[in-house]
Amino acid sequence: MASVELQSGKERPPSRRQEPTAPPAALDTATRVMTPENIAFEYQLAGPFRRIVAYVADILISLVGFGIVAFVVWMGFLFLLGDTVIGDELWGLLAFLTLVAWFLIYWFYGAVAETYLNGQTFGKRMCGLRVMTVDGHAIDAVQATLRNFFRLLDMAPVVSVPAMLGGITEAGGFSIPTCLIGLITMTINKRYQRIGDMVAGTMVIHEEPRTMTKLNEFSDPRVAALGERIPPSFVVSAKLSRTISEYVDGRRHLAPQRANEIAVHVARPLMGRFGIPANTDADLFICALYYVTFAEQPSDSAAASSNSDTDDRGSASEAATDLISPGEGTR
Amino acid sequence: MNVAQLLKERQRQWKELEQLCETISEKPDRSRKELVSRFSSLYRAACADLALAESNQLPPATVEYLHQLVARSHNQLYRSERYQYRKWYRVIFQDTPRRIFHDPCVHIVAVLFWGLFLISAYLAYDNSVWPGFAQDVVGQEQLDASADMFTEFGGRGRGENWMMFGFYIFNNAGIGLNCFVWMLFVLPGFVTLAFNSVHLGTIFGYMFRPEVGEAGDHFKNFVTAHGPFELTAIVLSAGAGLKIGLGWLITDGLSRLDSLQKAGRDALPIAMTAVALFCMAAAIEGLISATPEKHMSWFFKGSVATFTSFLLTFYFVVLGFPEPGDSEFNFLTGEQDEA
Repeated sequence: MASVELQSGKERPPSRRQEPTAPPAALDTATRVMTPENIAFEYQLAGPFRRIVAYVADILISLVGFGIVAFVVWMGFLFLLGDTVIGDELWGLLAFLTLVAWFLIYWFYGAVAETYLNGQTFGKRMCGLRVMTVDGHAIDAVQATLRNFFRLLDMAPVVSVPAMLGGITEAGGFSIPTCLIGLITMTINKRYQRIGDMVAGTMVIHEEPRTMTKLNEFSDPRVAALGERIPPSFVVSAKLSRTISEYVDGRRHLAPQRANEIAVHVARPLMGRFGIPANTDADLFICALYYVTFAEQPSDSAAASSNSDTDDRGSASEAATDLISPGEGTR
Repeated sequence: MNVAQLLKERQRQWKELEQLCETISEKPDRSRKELVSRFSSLYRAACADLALAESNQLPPATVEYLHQLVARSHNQLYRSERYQYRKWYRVIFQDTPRRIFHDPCVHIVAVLFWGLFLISAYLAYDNSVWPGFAQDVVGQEQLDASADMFTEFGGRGRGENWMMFGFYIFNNAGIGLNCFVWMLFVLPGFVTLAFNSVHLGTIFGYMFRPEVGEAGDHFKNFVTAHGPFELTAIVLSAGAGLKIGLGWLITDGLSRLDSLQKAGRDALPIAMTAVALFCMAAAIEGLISATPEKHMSWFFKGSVATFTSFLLTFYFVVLGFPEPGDSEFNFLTGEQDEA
């Protein structure tokens, strides 16, 4: 085995659970875990409706897989031995193999797949789901087996179709699992665990590959120009940087008036501090602040900004007229 | 350093890590080895970036991206523990028999099941202590039905035997696992167990009555050989289930959820033993039990039952008994205390 398969926790006493002291997750569908690298990150939990899709896909996959295997084996038997000894015994043997294969698939497909595919069945892989321990580790064979055995309980109670249609009291026939026990259990705990997950100490997470988002760029040259009015000595606090970043990410969905209404609360006090006229566009100011904080500025412009900063201290009215004239900025 | 510069510098590595995440698990083992060290250093770097995200004032979208990237890489790096076949010998021939031998839940279920079974079998057979017991419990109709079934039953052909072997595995092991799982809610599990043991015991007792005649002979001929394995398997699966059911009721100082998980981990080997026993019982039931008397004498079937009982005794008592030097064995919890 390659050394990728570092086993995360050989001895995992269940009483020890790491509850990171980091602030609680912003959303209730996220869960925070601590890694051995001592870093906390968040997983997106998968809810029942994502999981039911994966489960239906798994049922179809196992049925198709079973069908193909059964077909090949039966055909193989018939072609190889067909003419000679196609007796009672052969049919019995075929039925035996078929039943055993179905038994194994029915009870152990999920367990074996989750053990070998690192917490995924084929259906889960298609839906981007993965089973993890509640500590965020990879699961082991015992956990995979337990959670798949207890699915039976989660799918209960079962409604018998013949009983519903004809009032037949006998058990048996085609029946539909209502999954009520599993659904109720999932709603009353914070990790969307069904009973099988609780017994095994696992949770199902959703892994969505996200693409790296670029920093916002501004075509408006006034942004860079206004940015030069902001003193370089001004350090944006963590909270402020988060605020302006959220704002700039979302502002294109807003009408200009509304954007201004939102921006003005943050912009006005700062503009007053930097000596920028109060009638400057608040939205523009926040963009400029974003530009100064996050975007890369050419080194010469950085030097220029420090120069112009000293110049502009007194001439605020000039700055305001400057903003109107295009072509000043680098973008 | 400015955020844009930082991103520009780091982005290339994040992209590389992202690509490795997708490809590394599909690479064959040999070429994977070379990528592993690269992968882990990239992963550590991404971890550091995430840790410093706050102080570097990365925009929230980037932080979210990093969370997701680290999570995905984490799942690639730390793999699920696969079946460790080398450990299996120890688990099968040392840990599990000892656990079963000392497990109070298995004891409770065994006493309950066998007690009710034997009492009702005696009451149904004897019919003088409680006249009409069998009819009261099972009902005349069902008694007649099972008598009729065994009157006609004279054995099966060999082909059908194989099919029934498969059917018994699917059906009986399925029932055992059902029993295991439903014992999580202790009370309904107990009711089902008690009902089944009384029901089975009554039919056993009734069928052995002299007046049942030929059906009784066929019945005896059929149930003898696979009885030990199958009845033990029922006890084990219910015992394992009870362990989990009591796990969340009696927590022993742990939190309820932790106690449940510990019980689940401990109970699984017992349940798997039950599944194995069900499969072996199915083989005997399908291939030996159903063979008609003229091909296979009852004496042979009795010998099979004796032999399987001997195997069970060996497994649970001889292998299950703690070794003299085994002072670390905790008799109360049936667990190996590892210091």
